[in-house]
Amino acid sequence: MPDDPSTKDPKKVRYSAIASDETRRCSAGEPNLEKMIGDRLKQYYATRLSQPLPDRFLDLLNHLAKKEAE
Amino acid sequence: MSESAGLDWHTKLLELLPNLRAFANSLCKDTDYADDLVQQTLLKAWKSRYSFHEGSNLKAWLFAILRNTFLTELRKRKYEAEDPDDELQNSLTSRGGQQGHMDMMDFELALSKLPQEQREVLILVGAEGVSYDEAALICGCAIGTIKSRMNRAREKLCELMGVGGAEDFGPDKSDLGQNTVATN
Repeated sequence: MPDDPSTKDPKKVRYSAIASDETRRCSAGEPNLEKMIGDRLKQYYATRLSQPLPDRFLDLLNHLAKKEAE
Repeated sequence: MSESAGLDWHTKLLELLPNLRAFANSLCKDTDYADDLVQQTLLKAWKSRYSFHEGSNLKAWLFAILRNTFLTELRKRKYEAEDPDDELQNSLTSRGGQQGHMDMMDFELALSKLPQEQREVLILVGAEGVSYDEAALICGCAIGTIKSRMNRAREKLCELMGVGGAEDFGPDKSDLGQNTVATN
């Protein structure tokens, strides 16, 4: 009876599954794949860029500028 | 420095604050710690503003300060930003037998598993939009090293995700419909 993958260590299952499938080998140089990674990356970063800034930064900069002006 | 120059710095730093914070948040997962990094960067930049050459790349200069601060703290406090307990690693789901299920959460988990030097290059070049030259300046290494890290980062990301092709990237459920990324 073949091994039930669900009973194995999740890590091992994941890596063995990848390694055993020749068609699923990493091909980061593929133009479409690069574009998709780039899109995900930009989306990931855009959410961070759009987060509201805490007041502490503005307070700090105002304080520094005020101190400079004195 | 004159008062107007001081106010100018205030404006410039304010303009780059979102980028600094986004970069800090990409370096470490702890948002409070990321904010502390940004604050330290602002203080250091303000203190060292006389050593900044007018006309130089301010963003690269600030990013380099932030990165150096992060690395110094990392060494000093042995701050583990790379998932010491492998919790994130273990939470990545098997991709071997699945198609088109690469969602944003898994992407972020995979990204967090990249070695720090690869992750920062991927973020800087791929997301922040800095040039290879600027990335080399920020990271204090050769352009060739940046390119090499970039390639390794892409490959490692694919490996972590178990992605074999573009078709494995499913539609992202968390897509907010905006793709506003700062460029040079």
